[in-house]
Amino acid sequence: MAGLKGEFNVVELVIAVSALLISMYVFLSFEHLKTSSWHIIKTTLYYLDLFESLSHAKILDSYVFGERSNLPTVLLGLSINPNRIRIACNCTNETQELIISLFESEINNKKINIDFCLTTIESFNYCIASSDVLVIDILPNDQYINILKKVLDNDIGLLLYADASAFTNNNVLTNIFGISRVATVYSNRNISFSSTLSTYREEIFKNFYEIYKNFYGINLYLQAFTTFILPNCVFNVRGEIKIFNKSYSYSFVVCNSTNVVIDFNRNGNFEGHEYRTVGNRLSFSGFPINVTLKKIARTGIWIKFDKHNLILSDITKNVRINVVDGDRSRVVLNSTDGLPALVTNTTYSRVAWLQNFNHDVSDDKKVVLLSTLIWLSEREIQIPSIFSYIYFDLKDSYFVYKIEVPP
Amino acid sequence: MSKSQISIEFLTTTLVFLSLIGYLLFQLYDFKIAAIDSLNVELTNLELYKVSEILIKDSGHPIHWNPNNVKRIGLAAGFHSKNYLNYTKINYLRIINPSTRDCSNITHYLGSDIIVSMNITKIYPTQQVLFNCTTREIRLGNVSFERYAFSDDNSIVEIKIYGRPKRRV
Repeated sequence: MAGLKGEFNVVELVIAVSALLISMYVFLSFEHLKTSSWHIIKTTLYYLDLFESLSHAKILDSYVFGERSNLPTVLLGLSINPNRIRIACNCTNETQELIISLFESEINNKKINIDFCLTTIESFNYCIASSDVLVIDILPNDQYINILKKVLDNDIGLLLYADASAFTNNNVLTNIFGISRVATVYSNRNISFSSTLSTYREEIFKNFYEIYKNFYGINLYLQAFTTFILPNCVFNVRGEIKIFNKSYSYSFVVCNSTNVVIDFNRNGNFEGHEYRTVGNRLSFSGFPINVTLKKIARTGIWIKFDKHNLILSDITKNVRINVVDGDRSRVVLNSTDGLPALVTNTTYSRVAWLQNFNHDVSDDKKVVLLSTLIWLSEREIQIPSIFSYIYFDLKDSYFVYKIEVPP
Repeated sequence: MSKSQISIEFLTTTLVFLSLIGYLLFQLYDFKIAAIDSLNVELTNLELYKVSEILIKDSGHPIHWNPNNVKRIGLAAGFHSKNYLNYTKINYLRIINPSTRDCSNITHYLGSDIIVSMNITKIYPTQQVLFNCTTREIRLGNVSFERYAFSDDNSIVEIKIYGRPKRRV
């Protein structure tokens, strides 16, 4: 350059700075931050503990040497499957509380563990990168579309849990979720699983079926947190069942490890009501939904929705949502007048929009949310199929065990 | 151009340099926050893991401790008794730490101050809560650790510990 000695060459500097910026981006980018492996360690520990405990209890030995009937029952009874969903949440306190209320729920007698971190979607940060599902409860602007696509590129499921009446059509809504808002309409119809799969496509049907299957398989945990003394009862804790989106709920009192009393007529008086025990079906007069009492503990109960019931809702405002590609088979839940409430999309990865009804969420809708989260999390719900263990007790010999856990 | 004038090239390079420094500082700050949070969670997981190992693989001190002479809590029945617990020691926990709303006695004897809740439940062949205490409400961001072990009353128990990440770095 024909300048003075000591002057910087601007062109060279710009090139150098650009190279530096690119290299800093590469080194500092969070996607290169190694995610924690504690969930793998915990899984391994679960199985090691299981084998150690079963060995001490002589159950493992007796299974290997002939008593073939006991082990599978014990395994199921232990609830030891480390199903773990890692959720990143860009959401309000209400949504956080809702997701917390899903903790301790079970499927096939196995607890669904939920790891949770709060995040923003300003950048693809550590919380998002190490999760299975990103939950957002407000429709993002178009400026976030690249972040969301990056989330999907990394095989992370995406759930928009938001009230569609607040939607303004944008690229995020149409491109990522494959839906658009048409109009707000008023109705008070029931919501159920969509029964019209107009075009049979294996993938779509599978997605639909997985959510459907999860919904009717989940045992929802209802915590009992207030003391309520009943004669001849030991645990004496009271909780609420809120199956329907009504302004009221049904109280129950956990009496002991086998019995629960439910205030079916909601008069606050539990006397005179029959005890209900595990396996009993709970019917609520005037409502076609039945639930089954699946499990009782000192701190609460687990309930499961019986198949082929409608999910009821007293929604007063529904939003007419269009499926942009016209594929109605993506609609998993809709009201009887055809308004979607849960729409999936698998164009990029696993994506779903679920209507947030903005008021006290009933237990059936909690199960819908959890079913959808399980579907979105995809791989992590799978349990290891083979695990080996060497039992070495410093005695006569050692045994090598291998166990295959069916999915 | 006189000697005292600032050249446009100098101005440009200074601006580019300052922008670069600003960008890097912002990136480093953003990175530091995320890294510190995740590091604290890692450390909490590590500490809970160590506590859980002590509970199920160590017999405590003295070996046959009781509430009157305990110096360190360990639930294992004896030496080399990993995942093999002494049922009497489990029951002693309720005497050492009678309050269900405060785990401070337990954490004192375990030498850990991050534990906010601890539950020991018999899960096989029947379900029964053997011990529980909760110092603080379990919140988002708390780390949990679950372990399973055989108890010498012929049952299998679940030990669940919740820890609260504390800012250490």
